[in-house]
Amino acid sequence: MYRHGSKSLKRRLLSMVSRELIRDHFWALKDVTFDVHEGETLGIVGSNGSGKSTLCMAAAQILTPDEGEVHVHGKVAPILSLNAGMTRDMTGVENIYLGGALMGYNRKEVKKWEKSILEFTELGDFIENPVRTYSSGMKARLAFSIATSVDPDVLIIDEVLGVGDTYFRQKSLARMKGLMERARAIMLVSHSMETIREMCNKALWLEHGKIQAIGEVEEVMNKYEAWQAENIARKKAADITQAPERQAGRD
Amino acid sequence: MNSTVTTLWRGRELMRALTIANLKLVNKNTFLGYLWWLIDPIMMTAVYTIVVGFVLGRGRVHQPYPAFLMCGVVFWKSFSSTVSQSIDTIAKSEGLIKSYSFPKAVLPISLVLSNQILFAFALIPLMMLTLFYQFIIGTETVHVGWTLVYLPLIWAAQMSVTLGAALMFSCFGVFFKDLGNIMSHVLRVGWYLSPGLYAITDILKGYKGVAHTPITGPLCLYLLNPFAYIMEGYRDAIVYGRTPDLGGLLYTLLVGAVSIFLGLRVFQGQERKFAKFV
Repeated sequence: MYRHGSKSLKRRLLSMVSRELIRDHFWALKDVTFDVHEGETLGIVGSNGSGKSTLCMAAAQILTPDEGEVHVHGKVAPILSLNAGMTRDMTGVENIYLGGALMGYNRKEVKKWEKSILEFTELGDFIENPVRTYSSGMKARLAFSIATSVDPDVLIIDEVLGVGDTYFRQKSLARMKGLMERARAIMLVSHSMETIREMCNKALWLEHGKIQAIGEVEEVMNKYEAWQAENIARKKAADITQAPERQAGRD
Repeated sequence: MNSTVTTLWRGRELMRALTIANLKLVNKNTFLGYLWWLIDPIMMTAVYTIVVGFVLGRGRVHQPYPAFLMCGVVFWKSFSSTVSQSIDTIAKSEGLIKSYSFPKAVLPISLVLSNQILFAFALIPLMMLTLFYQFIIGTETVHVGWTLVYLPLIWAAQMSVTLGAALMFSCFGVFFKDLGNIMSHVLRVGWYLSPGLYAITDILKGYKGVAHTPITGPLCLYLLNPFAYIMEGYRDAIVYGRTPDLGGLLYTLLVGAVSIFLGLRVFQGQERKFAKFV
């Protein structure tokens, strides 16, 4: 089981030009409280900059809240970005062992899973090459494979699934379904409405660091999509006054 | 404090993985890789032998000067490069810190461990040089022998001081971006202040011209320098076949232990800010 307390995170902005500490407290998340239990797959949606990544990092205990608490029971496997988790000059295999160690597993355990990790990535001989030679799709496959093969209690995925081709996406969704059946907790951030509807049994809509809606997937998604449509319409209306200029520029 | 040690103990697998990763990267980044840890001390020893030994003619008191020098050079290279690298080790690992949750102290610790292994490499030319002087040139002052048994003690003192320094500097390095520049100057001064080029007795002799003057005033500070006992210790144990200053080494171990304790405390307090600041 995995649970959040009420929490918020703040970042201080330092002005290099004026060399003063500008105490501009930016709360990336405010009063965010929720639980994720075994067997739940929580889909997280929201506009860019709404705090989804901060939420994932806090859940993975990478960032510590300035107020409030995060409680996690069990091992967490985070997939937060493609490049960050891997050391560029090391080979795929070396990254597998390092990733496993960083998640708290010992060498014997990782060795057990090594074969299935390699098979899932379908990278073949490329696994012996340094990761800096990989394409983003290959990195995604490797990252996803490592994180899902180590049998985590909590899986946190931040928008990384979008990178692969359809074949990879199907494979990964199938894998995640397997994890759900084994009653693990999953947090999934995505901009793809179909992915959320297909994979998740609970949803959370985050905007400006605050929870706008949480609960049944359909309910939350409908609210979010309605708000999005409104937003786009509003922005388009504002654009109409500028449109004649732009057209003139184009021709 | 206890929880920190237990956390680190549980993270020992990660330390092992990072140490191996560091060693592999040393080899991958440059053409000569590990060999630099042999070549560098040899070259530095050669330079100082020529400049201080021949040109300035000050090496005569300590025969054989190259072996005398190399003891200090090998230790100092290991210590100073560990300190400089520890300053930005956290920043360099930004990717890992922002992707996984792990006890960040493993970063400076594994850096120290991998550098200690490289230090062992550098002991090889030192041993060879010493044996060369003993058996091929037959220098009287050289006695390689049972005193080698003190090496683990001297090495333990070295390890404790280096580890304490690495923990503290890696933490400060996150918040003070100028620390790297400052330390490169401090370390250079430190080299000349430590008995790398000369022996402690040289300083004592210069003062009032008598070797056994009671130690007073600014000289006390000199004897508080923990590196003094390490460098002299290596010389005594490896080259001259004398028992090193055991009291001094114990003192150094104590200084090291205190610095490790302080370093871990600082880490404990500041660790959670790394992901934000780095």
